Amino acid sequence: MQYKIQGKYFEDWKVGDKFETSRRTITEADAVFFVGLSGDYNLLYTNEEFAKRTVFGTRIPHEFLVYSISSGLMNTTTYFDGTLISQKSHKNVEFAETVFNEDTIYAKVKVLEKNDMGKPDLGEIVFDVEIINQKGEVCIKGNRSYLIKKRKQTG
Amino acid sequence: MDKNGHAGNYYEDWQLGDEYVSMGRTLTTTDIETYTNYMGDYNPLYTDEEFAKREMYGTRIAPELLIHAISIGQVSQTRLFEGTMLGFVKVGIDFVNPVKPGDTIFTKGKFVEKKETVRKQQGIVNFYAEIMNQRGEIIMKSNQFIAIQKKNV
Repeated sequence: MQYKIQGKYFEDWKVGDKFETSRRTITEADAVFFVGLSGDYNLLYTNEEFAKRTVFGTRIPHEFLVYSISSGLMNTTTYFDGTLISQKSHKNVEFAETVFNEDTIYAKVKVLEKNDMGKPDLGEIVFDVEIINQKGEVCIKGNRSYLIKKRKQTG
Repeated sequence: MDKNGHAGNYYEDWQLGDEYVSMGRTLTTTDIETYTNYMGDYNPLYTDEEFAKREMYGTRIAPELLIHAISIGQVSQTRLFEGTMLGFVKVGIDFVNPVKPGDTIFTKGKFVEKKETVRKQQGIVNFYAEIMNQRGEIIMKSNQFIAIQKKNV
């Protein structure tokens, strides 16, 4: 028995399709890990004495930690397993509400557009993605465009 | 460095024409493994070399958002935002070319515009940034709107 690609192909998606990812709690360990991996040691994320004096009142998990986790949550739905070629763009990504340490988030996703691109092997799908916390607040919203394999490949 | 020990530019310090260039960072398979493990992003394009060999790029590639994260780190290491950066407001990113293990990337950025906000202690600054690899190819382009501390507030 061999591994079978589980992801949805370009043809399988329809404009208006929706899904939600599972939920994940953002922890201090995640926050510290991301600072280390990215190399962004800015004080907002690393220095509690500094962060106390900002509007946030405390260190915050890096915005892109949360954003990257949401991308991971989208991929654990298996909808993109073996069929995602690459992420093409992230547009109009707005950081509306802060995600704090110990918040629990998930992504709510909707297919906005499908672009055939005239290529035999791939097409572009644009998703509207909202990252929502345990209070139901939309913390981060924006569009992301993925290049997805086509099932029917010519040549 | 100011009295708080911060090296970063305040909102008022940024002028049209200001630019920065970061150090380079060589991307490794360890970076890819660490990122994919923590984010739970096990797409075989990033994690399965046998699968990736047969795909478009011929080998595992770095997750795009890992590259973006590294770029943010590179910008932070210029110290131009140290202690004065108060969070991301809005971002747009285009990924142009992949990064393969062993590639070296650096970030260069340019101040574009600034605008006032309702919060008196900060303003918003817009930067355009590009990530380049060792072959001079563009990896990523982005526009980043960032909240920056004002002086004497």
